Amino acid sequence: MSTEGKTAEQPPRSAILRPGETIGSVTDQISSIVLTRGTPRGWYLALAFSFSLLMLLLLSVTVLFARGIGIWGVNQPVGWGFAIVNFVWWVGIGHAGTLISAILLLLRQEWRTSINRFAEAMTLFAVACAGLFPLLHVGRPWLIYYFFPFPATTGMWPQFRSPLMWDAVAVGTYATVSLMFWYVGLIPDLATLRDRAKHTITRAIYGTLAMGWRGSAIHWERYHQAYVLLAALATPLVISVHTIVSFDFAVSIIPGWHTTVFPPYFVAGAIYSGFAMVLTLSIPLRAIYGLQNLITAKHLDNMAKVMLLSGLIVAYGYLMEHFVAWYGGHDAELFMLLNRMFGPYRMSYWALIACNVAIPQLLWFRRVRANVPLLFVLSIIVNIGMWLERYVIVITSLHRDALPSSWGNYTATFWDWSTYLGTIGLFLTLLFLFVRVLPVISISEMRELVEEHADEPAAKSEGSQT
Amino acid sequence: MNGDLRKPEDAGTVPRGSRLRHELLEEFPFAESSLEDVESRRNFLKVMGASMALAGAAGCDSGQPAEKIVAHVRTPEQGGRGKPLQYATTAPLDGHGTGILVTSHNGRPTKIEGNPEHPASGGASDAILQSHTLSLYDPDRSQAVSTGGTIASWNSFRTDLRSQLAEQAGRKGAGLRILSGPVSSPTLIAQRERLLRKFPEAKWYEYSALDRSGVRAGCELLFGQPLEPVYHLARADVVLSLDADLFGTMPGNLRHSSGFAQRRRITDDDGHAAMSRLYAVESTWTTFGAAADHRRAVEPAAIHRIAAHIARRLGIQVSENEIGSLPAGIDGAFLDEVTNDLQGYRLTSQAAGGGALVVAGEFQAAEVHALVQAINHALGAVGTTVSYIPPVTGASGFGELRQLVGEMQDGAVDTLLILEKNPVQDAPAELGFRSALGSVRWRARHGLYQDETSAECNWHLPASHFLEEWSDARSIDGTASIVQPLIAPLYDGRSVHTLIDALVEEVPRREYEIVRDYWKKNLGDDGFEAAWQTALHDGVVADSAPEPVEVEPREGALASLTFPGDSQGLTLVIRPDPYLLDGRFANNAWLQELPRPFTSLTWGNALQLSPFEFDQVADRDGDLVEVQAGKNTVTLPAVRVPGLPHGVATVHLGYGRRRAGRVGTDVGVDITTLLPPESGGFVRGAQLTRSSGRHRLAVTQLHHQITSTPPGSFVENSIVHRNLVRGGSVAEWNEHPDDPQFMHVDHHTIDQSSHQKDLPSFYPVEEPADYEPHEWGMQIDLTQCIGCNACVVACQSENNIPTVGRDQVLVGREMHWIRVDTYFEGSAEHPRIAHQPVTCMHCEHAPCEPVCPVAATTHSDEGLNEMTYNRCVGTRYCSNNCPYKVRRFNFFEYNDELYSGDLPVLNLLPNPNVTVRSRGVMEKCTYCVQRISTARIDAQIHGDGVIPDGEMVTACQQSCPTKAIVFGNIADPESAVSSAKASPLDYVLLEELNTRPRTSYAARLTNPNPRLAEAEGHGRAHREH
Repeated sequence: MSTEGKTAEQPPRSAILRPGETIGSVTDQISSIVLTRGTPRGWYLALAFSFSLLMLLLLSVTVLFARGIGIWGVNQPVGWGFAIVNFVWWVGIGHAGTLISAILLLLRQEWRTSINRFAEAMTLFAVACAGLFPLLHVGRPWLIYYFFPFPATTGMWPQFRSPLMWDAVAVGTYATVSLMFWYVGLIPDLATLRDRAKHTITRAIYGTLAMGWRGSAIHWERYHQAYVLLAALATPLVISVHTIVSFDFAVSIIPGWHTTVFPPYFVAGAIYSGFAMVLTLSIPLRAIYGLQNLITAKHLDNMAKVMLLSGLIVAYGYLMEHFVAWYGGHDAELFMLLNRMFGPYRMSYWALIACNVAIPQLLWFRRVRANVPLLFVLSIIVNIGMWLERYVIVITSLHRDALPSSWGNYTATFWDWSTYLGTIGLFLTLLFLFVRVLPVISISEMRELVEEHADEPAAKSEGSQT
Repeated sequence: MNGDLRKPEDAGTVPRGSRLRHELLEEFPFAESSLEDVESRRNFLKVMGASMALAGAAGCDSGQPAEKIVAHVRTPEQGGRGKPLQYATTAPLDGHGTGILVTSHNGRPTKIEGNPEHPASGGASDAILQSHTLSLYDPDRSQAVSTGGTIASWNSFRTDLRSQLAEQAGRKGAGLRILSGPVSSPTLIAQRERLLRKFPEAKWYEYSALDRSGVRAGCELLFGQPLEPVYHLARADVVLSLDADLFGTMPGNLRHSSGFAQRRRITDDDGHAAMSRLYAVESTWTTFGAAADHRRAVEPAAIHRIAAHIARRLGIQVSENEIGSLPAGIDGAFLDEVTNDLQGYRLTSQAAGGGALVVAGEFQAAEVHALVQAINHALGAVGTTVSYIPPVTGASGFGELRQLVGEMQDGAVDTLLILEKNPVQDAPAELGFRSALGSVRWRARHGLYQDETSAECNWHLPASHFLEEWSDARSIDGTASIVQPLIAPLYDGRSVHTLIDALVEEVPRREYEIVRDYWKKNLGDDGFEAAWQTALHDGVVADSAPEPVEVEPREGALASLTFPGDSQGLTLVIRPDPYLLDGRFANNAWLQELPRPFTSLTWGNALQLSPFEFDQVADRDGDLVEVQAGKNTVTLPAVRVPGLPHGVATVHLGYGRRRAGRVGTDVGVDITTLLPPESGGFVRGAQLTRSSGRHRLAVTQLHHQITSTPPGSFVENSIVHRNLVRGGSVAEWNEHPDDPQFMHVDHHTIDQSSHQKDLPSFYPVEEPADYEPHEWGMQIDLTQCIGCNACVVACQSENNIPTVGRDQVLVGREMHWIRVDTYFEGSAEHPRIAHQPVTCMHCEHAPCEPVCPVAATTHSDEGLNEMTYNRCVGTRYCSNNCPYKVRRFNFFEYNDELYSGDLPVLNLLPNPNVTVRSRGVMEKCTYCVQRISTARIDAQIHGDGVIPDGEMVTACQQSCPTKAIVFGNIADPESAVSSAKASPLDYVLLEELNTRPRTSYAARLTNPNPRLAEAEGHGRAHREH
């Protein structure tokens, strides 16, 4: 991982902003990534890599649509496989963005400011990846519109008792609100870019997207009202989306799925994986673009702490799941538990415990949280662990359920992996495009932050420059 | 093959892809071959011109045979277009005919049922019978006469044949040989007599790999004349099977199964149950052994000594020679008990007239059969449980084939006609048939397929399928019945009668005339027309069964028996595959994909080993093992099967075919090199060597994983506690009918008369839904189920269920709507087995219904859980949430290859009343909802709209030889299913989930000998460990 930034001076550990930053300096620094610095060669390489993965997705989906989902490893009795695992994983990753932007905004956590923009972008892209899977995994994707309530001569409506129906609504709502929240937050920055852009076409594009923002007091007043309202709207969604995703499992009667602990522990898991992903993305980002002054050690430390906390909640969830399976005295539940731990998929189970419970305990140590490369590695381990968690839940519960005569095994095929890697390609492609054309850190909010820290001598007031 | 004509430059062919061709095929899908074959194409165009002139009048029925065939049911008055008709005909198998009723939709046969009036069927059918419709429409059937690899015509064959016969006529046919399977057809036997009169030096040989030669040789040894024993299990209170596959490959299997079932469920006046007692001593698993109350596994040659020991115990004079000690796996006390029961165990007065019966396996040597018939005679069984008739078929086994090979090697044969049989493939390699065949100058093969034997012959002549021809056959008890065609021959096939007729007669007759003339002669001219019509209508020729022969054992017949000693090394038991037999049905995908009992293996054979033997040579199922017997070595995948005897391996014939067709070629391993030409079906002194590599076995149920689980491990404990198969001994049940092992756990707490049984719940009690007048339900009696899998193929045929192939079975995607689960219980050496057919349970609280996001699976107003295919988007959530895992998903377009593309003949196969499902759609058992609709319409037209009990029969129920499946209206308290469900034995699977299934089970009752039961760990004490 590159640590060569052009900003040599590091802020003190406790600071969320390097002393001496001015409104002008943060605006220059952030907007320069988009407008003046040019495109680094590394970006091309990274985009090429991501784009080839995206093309792999295109190939996989083409083959999938041409031949049917038999190309995957799903079977009887394991009717859901990678598609659902990946769906839940991506939705979970999306959670950190909304949590950082909305809940921390309402809680007035200033440190969120420099990470909320790309966390929100990450949310959108993750939800885009997640949203693909329900479409891909159904047997007849061309009829996917049956999921939605629309007036038809058949008089048929979706079946509102099905958690999959709730899913469609919850994820749809979540994606819509996240998009609005992100876009509204972008408007002042788009205006800044419009004002700074040299090229006519660039200016026209940013100008269109800025929707006539002029920075008047009334604009700001309405902007803030809308932003806080959207934050308030998004906050319950953080809880609801993964709660409803967990209902896909909890509402069923399959041992290992039929568990009341699922909603809270899925939400905690989502936050866990979401923060892990923000760390995974922000650590290289701040190094490559030299943003250590804006995304400071304090940010990383805070995110690590949130990760530790949500990880502990997840661990508690596991503990309760195991305890209830034993305490409930139902032999099918107990069997499910033992089968997870000692059955054919035991390696996945123990890897999950290692990744999600054991290894993250290192985060208790301040020195580990301050060690940026180690933190990066830990965040990736948690991402893997959370993927394994969904894999274990989906596969091990299904592969040996009530009737031993129907037991079977699940093995992922090439097309399972290629579809999964392909969505990572989609995610990274969108992310690299985002980094190139939009400000990765909210300029306007950074300026507010500078303003609020204006007691320092180097700061000088420029006023809103729009 | 006619492949040579499939070239664009052939001007005579209607070009592929042309519009005309497309239209022709749409109208006449079966005409594909005619379009290819120049000669028949001209005919076809003539016919086409005619039928186009009559368009609308006869177009749909162009597949009907020309002669008048007689429907089994009365013909509907207004012509009944579009309504399926049933015709009675006869399915021959190695000569033995089984009466069937074939459903015909607008002239195309689609479904086969048993003929209730036929003694070998009794209305039931088995997997092989059910699969004949697929064989009929098999696109790989040979379609034209060919010689030297090019297509020829029947005329050119006849010309060549005439010159051959002219030559033979001078030599009285000294060089003429005909080879066929065992023949029972009275017409063909008459034709054979005429042929042999014309060519007195010619010989007609018969053989079959399904070797039954010991049966009649044994009777000859004992009674002085070759006889065919006919068993009456319906009158047997005690049955001892000595390696007999009574319910499987033995002719009369359906009759045996139904007889067994009748004697297994008897209730006396006090409401106490009584049932027959079954013993099995066998060298491999049979379905009879699995149903038996006591089973012992022994080496196959040991059966000989065991029979002698029992005979001695009954005071029969057996050989002066030393019998030898009892073989491993069996003890004197067991034989004492068996002998006692054979002599003394009889049911109560409610089933008077019962007796004992001992049956020996057909592969066993003649001496064993002689001993067994002597035992039957001593037990007074003759006339009660067994009777003897003159043999109805010709010879089986390889005796006559060996003679033929000898003559061929001596150069005595120059003209050979092979009828139907495929000796290059199914004869023991040791006989050297194939190399000897080369020395025959003129060899012709008449058969359904261009197979291994056709490839070695000068002429291949396509045979007609029995559903396309006139013929006749005798059943196991000698009853004759007519084979009447359901459809005109799809290709250029001719029946064997036509062929033999061409050898004998100057003026060839049509096969209809040949068969009819024979019966006219036989039944007499007086009232022949009426008798003929009746025979066709009923599917049996009245009073054609021969009178039983009076028998008396010859003095000293058993005086000079010799007994084989203990085996050195491994004994290899070689049996015909339960469904492919000797490989003749290898190209039938339904049978290939049907899970074999005990292994649940599909698409291939394997070396079945007891766990002890298995551990010596393999680690995992499918590990390759080298089998050496004599000079020959074969490499087979090994599979662990609990309950096989030590020192014995079982392997099935019928695999590894080289020219079976698209389906059956190169499936499994050919073991004919190991097959001994002598009687016995086993080879001693074989050796196993661990080999490298593995062949993944396409099994549908991983019970090996379960049975190989160490006792006490969490997997085993969990299965034991699930109480999936409930039951106990009949004595326990009579004593403690309240034992929860037998019944619904809530039978005590909830009103038994109500079928709405609810477990305690936090939710308010629901009002029971109003299902008047019909509410469907099913009960499956585990006491009766023998695990024969007939229901699986019946369902497949009725409901257009696709086969998916080995690759898909390997990943767990088989499509059967009903499956027969098998559970082993007890030790790996002496396991007991329970079969449990599982269909969709049609739960009242169906877990699949609320989770479907698009409402594609819903409850009907008759209580059915229905799938709406065109609404299904394929989320598979319903299947995940089904605790019974009965739902099946179309992961690919499984029907695509079958019903379209270049195999249009398969378009004729599907049941038109059942949707063919496309890719991405979930499907499952519907309780044959199409049959319910038909019955409802009938009831509305002809009655008060209420379907009378018994009018609605599901496909699985109809095929079941033991009537283990009861289906009907549970809203009607008088219906058969209601009274079945009122039994305290009634229970449902996974009751604790409160899904309230409509399919329930009757707990499995057995009738162990109390003095043996304890030692074997029968009963509750064992289960409660």
